[in-house]
Amino acid sequence: MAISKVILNGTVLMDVTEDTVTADKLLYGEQATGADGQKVTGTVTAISEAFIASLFS
Amino acid sequence: MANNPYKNKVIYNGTTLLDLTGDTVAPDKLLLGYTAHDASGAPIVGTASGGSGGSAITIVDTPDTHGGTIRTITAVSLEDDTVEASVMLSGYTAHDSQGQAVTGTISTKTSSDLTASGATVTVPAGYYASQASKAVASGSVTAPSSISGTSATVSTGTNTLTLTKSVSVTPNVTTAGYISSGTAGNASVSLTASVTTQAAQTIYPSSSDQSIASGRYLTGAQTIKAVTTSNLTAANIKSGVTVQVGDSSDPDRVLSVTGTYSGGSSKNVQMYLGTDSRTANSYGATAVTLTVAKTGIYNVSWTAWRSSSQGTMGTNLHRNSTSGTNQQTWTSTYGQQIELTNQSYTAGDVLTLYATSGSNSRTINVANLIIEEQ
Repeated sequence: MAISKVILNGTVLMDVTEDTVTADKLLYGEQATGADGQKVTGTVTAISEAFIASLFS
Repeated sequence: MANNPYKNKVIYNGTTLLDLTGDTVAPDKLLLGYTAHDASGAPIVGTASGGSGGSAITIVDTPDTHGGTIRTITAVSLEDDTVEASVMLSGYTAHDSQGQAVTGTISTKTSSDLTASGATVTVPAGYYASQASKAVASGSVTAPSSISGTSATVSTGTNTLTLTKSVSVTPNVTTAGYISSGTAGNASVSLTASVTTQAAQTIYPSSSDQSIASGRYLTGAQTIKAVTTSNLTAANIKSGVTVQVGDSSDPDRVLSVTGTYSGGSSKNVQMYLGTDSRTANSYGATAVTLTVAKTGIYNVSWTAWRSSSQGTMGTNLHRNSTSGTNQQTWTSTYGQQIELTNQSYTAGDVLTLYATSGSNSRTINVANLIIEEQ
């Protein structure tokens, strides 16, 4: 089980439980840690409108 | 490590509990508004909007059931969006034309948010999902028992009611049909009305204009008498002379006649029909005298007689003075009619008979001096 929050002697050392990052909100191939502590790999590819337009030209 | 205020890796008893050091996430790698922690452990907020300007283009790959990948491309243009916080309800979010996340600020209101002060209801700005209302207290006013002047006002709160006095007037109409006076129905109001009247009258034409005064009620006929013109005929008026009855500016004036009469010339006849006596023994004027009215050639006559047979007596007719021309010397012992012809007189000449009774004191009578123009 992944760990998303670490508390030592009452002190929060790390906490990602409130993060909202998910794979579909992260650019393609980028790495992050989700709110559940699991690694997330981005699936979103951001490209320009001009590029999209070129795909259909 | 000392310069990093964040924790990015925790190892407990040799076991790595949480490790962000390998993460590559950064604000520009994370979609706009989403949160994460980067490799340093610092919290970050995504700024990636994809595409240029206010547009978002996303490609999402998902595996299909055949081991392949389904790539979904979504392009959304935000450039024409006009949304901003002030036009959105509170709690709702959207992205503006630049792709920036915005959260609405319009608060939701209900009837409970309405307030009343007197007759004024205050409605705060906001969104009302359903009809809102606020009851205000009703008011009442009591009309005054009397009104001084023409009107009165009564007020309650911010409301004002104006009462206007109305007075009923009963006119006194005479049998002739006009109002002679009026009385008011309200004893506190005094009204007086009167009309100047003009009784029947007859107006006779004169050489000057006449008028009936204005502002009068005529209670009788106003009779303007007619002008009698029965003898104003052309035949009765000297030729060339125009006689006009009525004002010249009146095209309908009564009459305008130009005479045509050219009758014969007239003769001037004057006479002194009295008698005067003179008793003297010298020559002197009598009271028998005439003033000639018209210049012309005249025949002249008078009568003289003596009171008794006492010598020669005579009469002379003088013109203008005793030193004037002696028109006739007559001597006789008896009374007789004396006549002169072709005497030329000028208007204004004074003719006087003179008498003489000789050397003795005697009486001579003269009378009936007549001059007749030839």
